[in-house]
Amino acid sequence: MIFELRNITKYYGDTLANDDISIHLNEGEILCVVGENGAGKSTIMKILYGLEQPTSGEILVKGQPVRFRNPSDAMAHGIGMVQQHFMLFESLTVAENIVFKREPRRGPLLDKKAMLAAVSELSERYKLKIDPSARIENCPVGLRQRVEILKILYQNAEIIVFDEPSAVLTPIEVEALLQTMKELAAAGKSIVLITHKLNEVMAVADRIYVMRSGKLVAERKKEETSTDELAYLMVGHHPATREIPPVKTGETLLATEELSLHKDGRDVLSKVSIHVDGGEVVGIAGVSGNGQSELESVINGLEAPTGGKVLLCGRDVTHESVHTRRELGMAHISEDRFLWGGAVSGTLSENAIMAKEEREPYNHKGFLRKKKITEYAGSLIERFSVKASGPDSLLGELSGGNAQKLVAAREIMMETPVLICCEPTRGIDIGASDFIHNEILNKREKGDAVLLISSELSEITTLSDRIYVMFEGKIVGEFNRGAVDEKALGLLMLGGKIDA
Amino acid sequence: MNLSISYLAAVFNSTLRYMTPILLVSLCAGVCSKSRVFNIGLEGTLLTSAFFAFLVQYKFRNIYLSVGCAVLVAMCITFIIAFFIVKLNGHSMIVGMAVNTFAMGFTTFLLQVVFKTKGVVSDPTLQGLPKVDVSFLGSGTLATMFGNLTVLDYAAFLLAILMYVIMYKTVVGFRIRCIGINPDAAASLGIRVQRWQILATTLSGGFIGLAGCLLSLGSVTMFIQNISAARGYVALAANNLCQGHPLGALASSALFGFTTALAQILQNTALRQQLLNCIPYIATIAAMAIFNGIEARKAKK
Repeated sequence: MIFELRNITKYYGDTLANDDISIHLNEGEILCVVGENGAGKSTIMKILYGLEQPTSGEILVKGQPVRFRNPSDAMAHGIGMVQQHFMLFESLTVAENIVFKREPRRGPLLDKKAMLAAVSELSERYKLKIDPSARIENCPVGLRQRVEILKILYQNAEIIVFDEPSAVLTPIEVEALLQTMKELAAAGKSIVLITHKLNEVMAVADRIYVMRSGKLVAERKKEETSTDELAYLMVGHHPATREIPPVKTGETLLATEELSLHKDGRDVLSKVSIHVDGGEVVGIAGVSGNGQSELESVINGLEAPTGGKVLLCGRDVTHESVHTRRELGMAHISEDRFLWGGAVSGTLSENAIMAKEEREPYNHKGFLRKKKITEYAGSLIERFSVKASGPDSLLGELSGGNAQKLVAAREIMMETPVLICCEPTRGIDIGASDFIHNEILNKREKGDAVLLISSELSEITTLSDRIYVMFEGKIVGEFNRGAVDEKALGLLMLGGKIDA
Repeated sequence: MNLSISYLAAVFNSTLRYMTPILLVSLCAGVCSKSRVFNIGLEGTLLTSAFFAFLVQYKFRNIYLSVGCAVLVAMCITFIIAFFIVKLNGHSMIVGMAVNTFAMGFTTFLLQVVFKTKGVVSDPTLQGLPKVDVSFLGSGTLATMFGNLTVLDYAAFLLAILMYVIMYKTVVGFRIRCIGINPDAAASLGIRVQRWQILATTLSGGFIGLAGCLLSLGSVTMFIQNISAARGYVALAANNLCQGHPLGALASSALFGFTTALAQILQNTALRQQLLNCIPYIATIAAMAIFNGIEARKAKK
């Protein structure tokens, strides 16, 4: 046993994030920690990497109790983490990134020859192919991740923690990553993989811990379990079968005609034609980075397409501004609530009336009416059960889930015929995401059109009446509800084909 | 206009003399920008250290003491700037402007108190920086080109080369550059980023002290109110042109040195003096516009 967490409990204020968690890691094994968003996985990860200190409990490395005050302490004990957001020096070379902090030197000088030799040696030893003198800014994401891994190996890490490593990768890169993990384990490194993607878990894990709402609910060997069992353990109940009543679809409210976008020398969108009718939720499934976010920004008007048309309520809005489109009847729940969705340093009131600040009764002859605004914000907070001390608290003080609820509330209350939702429930807890899902379905029942872009396949399949699959900027499939299973969708998303 | 060889040699010589203070200041600016401390307080630092170089020389008549004192003053001010920006999270624009405005008032005030004058103070008995003897070059063109330059003028060129070696060849320079590129990444590997930033910029502040000595104890030994005359800002522009590269700073400060020399040469022509005085600054704007234009086009591709 190389590493152990004993009875770890972590409180954030009054919130219990980890409740008496004990896990251990054996040498040379691949250990997976799975759980839904908000299950406490990321807290455990932060504790074992020294980013957070546990409220109580012990950390043991090779049987010795240790304390990690910061990541350097963890690193000194041989624990390295491949961060989800890469920590690289963009304009420097691969080799320079890898040796940073333990540079080979000749006197005060940086020994470039030794550096290249050390990096090449490392890359050969672990079969992680890289070009040591390539610049990071010219490397694709998968390669950057490889550099992160080598960086950790160069720091002599014995334990490598991967935090949701596949979120940013293309399917082929994921394949390569999983292979790398196996090879590292074979080379004697111990690996912790934190994820909620069960197919990856089943592909590499030796042992699996399942977490749910801050507790460790199960430990399984891979041979003894299945994706279905793990999914059940993660959620705690069999996935709820939501009653979704059929709604008569109306006319087409949102459509794109052969939409194309050429950017950075490649076609990020090619001839995308979709339509969303009234009373319909239409999902766009795909691995992130296959053109969904570009489609989002072209439909919104943030980016102009190089070809094709966007039609909103029957009108060609391809060259209209975001403002005009919103006035015509489009609302938008964006992917990142703190970056795009709302103003972090604004109050909830301010965030609540954004886009309504020119309308009566909130604006009377050019003056904002604080009372009406506060009332309105209060009503949103209540109806959408946003956990906040009041309309005057700042958006940035809210948890991700609650901030998302407020942004969703604002956009849903625009009561537009068309609503675009991008990753509406990414990184938020099950309660909040159920709530947002219900609101989306309510909107559908009113006869509005909802376009749902999500990389969460289960979200797409439960909510959508119709599903488009996107791969490399193209629509590669269209299905009605129930006409396709997740497996087939997954295959299409990875660029495969299904036999008709 | 007489464009004889000896005349060109004189232009070359004054280009060298005008460029060295700018070069030294942009060496400091280079370290600042590489370590991600946006320091616009260079101007005030330069002015204050020029004043103290003169003051100490006036009082103690010891050139080593004057240079040492100017360097120390410059480092202190740069430390304050860095501390406020890095540690106290002050807005770099405001911190820099505060230092510049303060320096202007402070030196004018001390000029009044110590020398009882508002404008210019000079003392013919005062020794400036020692000149490098180039008599071995004879009395021809070469002597004109390289004559009449102080030790610090020559030192400036050597320091630029030294800074190149430090920033691009040593581990210390590598780390400073890394910190500037991505402070979070450096911190994630356990580097004390703030400490590095403050230390690096403070030490580089010493260059401004040397530049200050060149202004008040260089070719002329006098102190004039606002003697720095925006050279700090020009150096900031020079540094931007060379992207913080010490050898590039040689080229970009030469450009500004030359335009200043040009303004001098054209003095006896029909052009108005006020217009001529604008040349270095117009050159600054033009150079920045061209440079940024090229960069923007590159980025588009």
